[in-house]
Amino acid sequence: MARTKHKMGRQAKIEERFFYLFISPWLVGFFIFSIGPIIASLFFSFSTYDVITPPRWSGLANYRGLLKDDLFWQSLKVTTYYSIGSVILGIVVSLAIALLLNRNIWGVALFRTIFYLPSVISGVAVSLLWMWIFNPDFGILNYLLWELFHIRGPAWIMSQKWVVPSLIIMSLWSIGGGIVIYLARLQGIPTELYEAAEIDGAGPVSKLTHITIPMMTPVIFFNLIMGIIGSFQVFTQAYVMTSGGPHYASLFYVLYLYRNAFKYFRMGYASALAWVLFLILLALTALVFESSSRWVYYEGG
Amino acid sequence: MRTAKIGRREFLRLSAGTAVGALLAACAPPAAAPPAGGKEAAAPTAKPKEAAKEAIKISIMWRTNPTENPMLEDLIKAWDQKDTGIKVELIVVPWDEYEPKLMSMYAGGISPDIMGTGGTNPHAERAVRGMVLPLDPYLDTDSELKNDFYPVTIKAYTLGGKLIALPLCICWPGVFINATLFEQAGVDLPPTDWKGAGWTWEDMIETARKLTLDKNGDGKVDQYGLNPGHSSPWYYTRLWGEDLVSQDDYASGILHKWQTDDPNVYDALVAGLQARADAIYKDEVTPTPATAQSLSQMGPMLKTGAVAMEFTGAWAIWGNLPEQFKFSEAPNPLGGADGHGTRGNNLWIDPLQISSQTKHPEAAWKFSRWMVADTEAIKIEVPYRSVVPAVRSGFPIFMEGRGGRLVLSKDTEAKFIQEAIEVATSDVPCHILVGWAAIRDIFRSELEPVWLGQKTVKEAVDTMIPLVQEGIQKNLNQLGLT
Repeated sequence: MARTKHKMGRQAKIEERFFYLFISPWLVGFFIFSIGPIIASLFFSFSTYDVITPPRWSGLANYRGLLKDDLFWQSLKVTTYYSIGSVILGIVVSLAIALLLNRNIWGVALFRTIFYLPSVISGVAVSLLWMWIFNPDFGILNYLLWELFHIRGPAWIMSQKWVVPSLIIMSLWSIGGGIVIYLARLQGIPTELYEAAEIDGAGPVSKLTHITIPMMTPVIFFNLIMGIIGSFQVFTQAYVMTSGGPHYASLFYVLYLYRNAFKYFRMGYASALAWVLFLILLALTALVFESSSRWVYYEGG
Repeated sequence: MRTAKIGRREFLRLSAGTAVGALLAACAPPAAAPPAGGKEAAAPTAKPKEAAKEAIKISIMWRTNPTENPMLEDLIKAWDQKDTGIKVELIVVPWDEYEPKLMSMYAGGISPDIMGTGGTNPHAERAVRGMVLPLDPYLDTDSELKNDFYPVTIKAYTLGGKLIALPLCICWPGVFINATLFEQAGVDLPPTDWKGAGWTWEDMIETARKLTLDKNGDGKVDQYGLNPGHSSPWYYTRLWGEDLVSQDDYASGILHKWQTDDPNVYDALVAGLQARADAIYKDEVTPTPATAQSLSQMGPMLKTGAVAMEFTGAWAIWGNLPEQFKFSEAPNPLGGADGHGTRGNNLWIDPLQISSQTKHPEAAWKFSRWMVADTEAIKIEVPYRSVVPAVRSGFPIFMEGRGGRLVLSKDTEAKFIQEAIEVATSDVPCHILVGWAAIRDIFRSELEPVWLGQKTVKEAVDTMIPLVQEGIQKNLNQLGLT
């Protein structure tokens, strides 16, 4: 379609100017407090900088240092493990719960509220609560495992093997937001599709796999992107509950970044870590977007 | 309806004006209270002396703490009642956000005038980066104050020949005791003598053994004899008679290496850590990390009634007050084979530091000096905390304020604390050594498998040492000190 240049009327021009006038405080804030620090951090990543004294240009030294830093690789490994576990589990469980909450049964509104409620509690409070749940001696999890199945539970966050799975389980606490999004989408699926499928003799599983899930793929796609980005930025749980331990088993990427920036006075190195994380997330997001044409179904084509 | 017409130029002016106005409004300090009458508002500053008096405002930053914050408020209230012409503002920051906040404030040029007790308190790190004023020029002209300090407090904060902080208070180490549990088990209390040859590590373990009990006979321990709060390799090496840090590094305040290439230091490190690991897995008098975490979640260890002795610092008293049991204390055990080591001989000294960005160094010094050494200030501070004032003249006030909270007589307790201070040779490394912050996470993480019973001490130490030395080197490179 040929691009046509519309001549704006006087009123439209005035409105446009007022738009920029009113949005200008936000724009100034955005450029000074968001774009500015982002550009500054790029510069810092090429320097030796401790926040207090002026940065000294060091070229690629921070990035070269990362490649030789065992803790960088460990934090990347731990975060990837957590990300895979929490994103997949989060999508599967929240979709399953959304399907259950989509039934027309008595008290469904109450159940929806109950499932959403945990996600409104702040990160630190949740972490403290789960420290008790995971407590090897007095925690409810090990108590139930013993009382119901006579299984002696592991040390959970005190165990190198179990600490990341524990935090993956804990991540389910905040799936309420995802459930609401899935539920909204489920209610938007045209009922004619199910009626047509029933006429063709489709059973519940067939309807789920051939109608519901394909129709849900745009929302799954959205939650997958957000989940990947969010899970790579996990920090509070490790900071409050495990301090990255035992023996670096929960040394998440952002925790390591924080330590370098604010405990070891290595802001330049931390900036390099931040830019590497940005590039990883950019690449992963691009990859998911690239794959979306093969599995995400949009009604409009 | 008439529509207002805005030209391009007017529009740009308005946009810029709105944005700058909003920015200034956001960044500007709070406006001063408006004058009562228009005349006064229009009048020039006719009384310069009074105006100058009103102008001096300083700030002190402190960590969030339920007992310290009211103490600071009371101190500032008392200060305000004096006619000093100096107003003090208290900035309270959560414990773990203290250092990031301080760094950001300093980088932004709005550092607090006085840095009080914060999070990890890396006082030397701040000094080496030029964040604080050297205070010896002030102290050198104040011989009364200088002579009043316990010498070890001044020595600890004199780094590279400069006094980088003004000592405020002292927390002493020791073994803190739930004497009620001793009484119930029929075990005698340990001696209180820091300078004698008794009360060795073996004695402490033996006592702990008598106090480790399965009270209900279900095969599980319900009461542990000992919880060793210390896990730092620095501490155990000192107990075993050696030191990871050289005297030169203590004097300069910059950590250049661990002295583990000296076989005596290496052996002391391994033996000291082994003793701690043995207390958990061989002697079985100490809770495992998982159980210790469970107990700590229930409250202060001694208060849980599941631990009879805690090997830590005097905050154990602070955390346990008001006590619901009889409370006592003993010196650090004498480490080393057959007690041939030391008692660690350290203190925790909390100081005040004055920012190099302060516009009012004299005012900051005056308030700091008052807080550290004035009888009125010490009388306000003592009831809030179980810490000894850093000045000797404050000790009688401290003892008077404590009011015999321990089963020990007041005289015995006074002697006990005085001796702990007398034998001490240093503060802890994280306060006084540049580079400790960079290696603390390394040795903590490397030793975790030992405390979990998954690695031998020697294995962990042999992995830990090169990593620590590398961490120290990285820090020196960062500071351009190599």
